[in-house]
Amino acid sequence: MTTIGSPARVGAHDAIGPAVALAPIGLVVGALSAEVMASGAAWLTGPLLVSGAAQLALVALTTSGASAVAILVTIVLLTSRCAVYGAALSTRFEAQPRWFRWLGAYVLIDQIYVLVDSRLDELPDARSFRQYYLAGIAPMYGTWLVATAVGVLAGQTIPDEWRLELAFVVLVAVLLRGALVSRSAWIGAIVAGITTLLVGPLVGGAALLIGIGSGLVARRLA
Amino acid sequence: MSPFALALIAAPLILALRAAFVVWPERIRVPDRFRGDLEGARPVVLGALGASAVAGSGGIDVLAVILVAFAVVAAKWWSMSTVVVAGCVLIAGAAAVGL
Repeated sequence: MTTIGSPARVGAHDAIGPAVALAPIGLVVGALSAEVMASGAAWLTGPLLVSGAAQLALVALTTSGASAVAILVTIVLLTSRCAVYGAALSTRFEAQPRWFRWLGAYVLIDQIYVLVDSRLDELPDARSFRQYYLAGIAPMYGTWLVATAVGVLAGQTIPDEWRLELAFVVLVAVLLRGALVSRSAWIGAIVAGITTLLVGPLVGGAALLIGIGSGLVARRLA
Repeated sequence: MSPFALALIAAPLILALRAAFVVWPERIRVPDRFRGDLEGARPVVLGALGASAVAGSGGIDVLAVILVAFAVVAAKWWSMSTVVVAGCVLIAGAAAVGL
């Protein structure tokens, strides 16, 4: 087993790419949020929800006139994938102090799950896992708060045709390339992607969860 | 109800979802028969996230395909952060030329 000499340093280094990708997305989310809320409230939805997808859903559904129940259900379904991440990492939290369990749960987002999962074998004990996790999430969380603030304040100057959300696509493509190490991984990823695309128009916020579930089943059968 | 009030209501629901297996891993346990499926789920999660991101950014088009191809090829030689920065430059360039 290979271990990391300095988990905090490696975590901070690994987080640079995801943090850079979060910046343009945070700009867009901040700008859109400011269109339906006062500036302070728009920014506060970031630390409240800690989910760009949930923030975007909140704005989009509010704009479209959806009911409060529909908006809440959509947000919960969208973020339900985080429960899957928690389940996948649960054994790594058993030896952690209470404060870190809550903090780790609060910031359990797609990017930190992917980073931590890719390094699990190199983080053998609770302390190294915690150091890597905290050092990895800090730049991402900080970038998000700053980028959404800038978006809230200066978002009107961002042209609509700038598809800044595609920065996340670039990030996922890079991470996916490193994760496709076996035939079953390929099959799982392809099935998850196609399923998410196909069921998205039908089930909205539940698409990601259904996509991940079908991908896991396909990977097991492969 | 205002969007901010909805965010206030949603926040504890989201935290509960995230905390279920993380804060009480001794009480809320993943059945052993599913544990193997969850471990190493990264490629599956990324496949779903990638598809969702492409759909949410306006769908599969020339720019999305170019960016994915660029990222996959560039990742052979460059670090993740370099590829992401270069991708952002490509996005800005595409917007500038109206692609």
